[in-house]
Amino acid sequence: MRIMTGTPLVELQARLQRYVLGDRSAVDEMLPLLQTRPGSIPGERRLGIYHSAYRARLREALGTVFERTWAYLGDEAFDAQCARQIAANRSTDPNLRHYGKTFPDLLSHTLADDPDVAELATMDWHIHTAFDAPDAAALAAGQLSALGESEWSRVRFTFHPSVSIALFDWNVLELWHALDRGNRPPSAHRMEAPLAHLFWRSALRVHFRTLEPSEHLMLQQLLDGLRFADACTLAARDNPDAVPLVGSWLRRWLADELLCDIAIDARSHLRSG
Amino acid sequence: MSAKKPACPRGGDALRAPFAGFGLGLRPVHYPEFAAGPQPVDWLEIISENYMIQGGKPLAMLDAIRADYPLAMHGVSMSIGSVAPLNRKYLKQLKALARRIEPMWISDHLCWTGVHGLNLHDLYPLPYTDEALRHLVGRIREVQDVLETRLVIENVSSYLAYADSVMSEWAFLAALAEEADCLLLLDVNNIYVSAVNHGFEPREFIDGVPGERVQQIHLAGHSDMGDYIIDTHDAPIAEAVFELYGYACRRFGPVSAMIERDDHIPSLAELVAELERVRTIGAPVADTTPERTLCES
Repeated sequence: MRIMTGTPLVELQARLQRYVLGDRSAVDEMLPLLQTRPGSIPGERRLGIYHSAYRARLREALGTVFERTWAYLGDEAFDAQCARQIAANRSTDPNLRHYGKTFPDLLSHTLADDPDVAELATMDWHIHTAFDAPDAAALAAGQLSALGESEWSRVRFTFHPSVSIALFDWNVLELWHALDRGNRPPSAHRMEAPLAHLFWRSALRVHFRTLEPSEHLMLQQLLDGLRFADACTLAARDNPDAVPLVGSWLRRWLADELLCDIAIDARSHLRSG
Repeated sequence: MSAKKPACPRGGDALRAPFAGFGLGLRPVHYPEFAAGPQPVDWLEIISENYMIQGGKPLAMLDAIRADYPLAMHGVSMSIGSVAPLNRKYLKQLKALARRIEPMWISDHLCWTGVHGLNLHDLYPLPYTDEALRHLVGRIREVQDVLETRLVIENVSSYLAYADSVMSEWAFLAALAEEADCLLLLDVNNIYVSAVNHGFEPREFIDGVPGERVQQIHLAGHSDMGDYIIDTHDAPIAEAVFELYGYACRRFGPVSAMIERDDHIPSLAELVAELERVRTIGAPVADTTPERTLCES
């Protein structure tokens, strides 16, 4: 494919993009490229329409994804953070739905003294990505009950593509629910220990809940690809109190449609002893 | 997946899909009404990028709605006029969506949206030069080879005109349509907006494009800023745009037309009522029955 360089069209697009992305100081290199018509609005105002529209469009995209963060910060503060995001992070994807990925990280720096804000934005983002995740049919309970003892020792789970876990230090779930209902949020406070939050989609709706540490540990191990039997062995060794709970966790993951497939490892032919 | 309402078959003439009647842009806020039962809308247009996702509710709704309505795909990110290489991943996703819903046609804009790997998410106009024309013809032919169908190219509203331009926007579009063998989507609101902003007679635009290549017409609203107009697509259609649409109907005959409302979206009932006004203007020039009835067999 011929790559275009140095032609008038190349130069025009480069200059206009520089102007739109910048602080309008590049206007002087754009004005000579514009047609002027006596009595009509000047070129600088015409360019300004595009300069403003770029920022408005990205601001709108951020507001759509980070609704609860916006409600939490209020219009002025959210607008200010969006402006920083837009100045620092350019869009490289044709789909605006992907633009906000870096926003929680930006907030963790720009609002370092208010880490609850970045965590709330992280929650908004997890909900957004769960909504857009690929489809996958849920694993039927019958597929597990049909497994023999030998297969249970070799089974790995595949989780729905929408499943993700985020660890929060602050009472983000309380904040989110209050904001979602249009209520005044409670005071933000750091919890005694970081708490895992599980996100997933089933029946076209996004769901989320907290995870007790034991369930979080096992679920993360299984998400990382560990065999179920090996995860149970680790639980028996490191957290025996959790072992009686494993069955109920598995039933809940099935009912919530977190699981979508199983794979049975090949038998080992190594002799022992 | 349930059987789809057939896309209107190619055939009306050698270039275009047949007249499909009067439609609306499909917007998520109206999903419940379309899901609840038949609406007095002949066809629907989707924003392609909203469904170029991997799964979830939007695609489930799209599949359900497609069973009842012919659809057209309308994109905003092809950036056909950019000097950056074509985004092959985007085209692959676009084609996959087209395979899924079998649209009547696929459209995007005569514009560029970014260079150097960036996307500015706006529709920037091109200069109407021989260089730009050659560039566009090559790109459109390439995209049409990938998509295996003629692309439908829409005129954008613009606030910039370039000193290098050697021809009018409509002359450029006419040459582009012929040399790239593509089709045109005439947004009569965009024509009106650009005409005010650049000081030309909008009827000259309509007179200057090849009618046999006009596949679709958009109507939309705009915002009057006093000494210029912004194409906001967030208001009812202005009287001047209805008049221009009537002129286009008398010039072109039956062309599939729809209302494009992108913001401050009213109830479906309100849009359907506005569409009736469009139908009142457009239907008398149509053949006795919209050719979509051919699709209902």
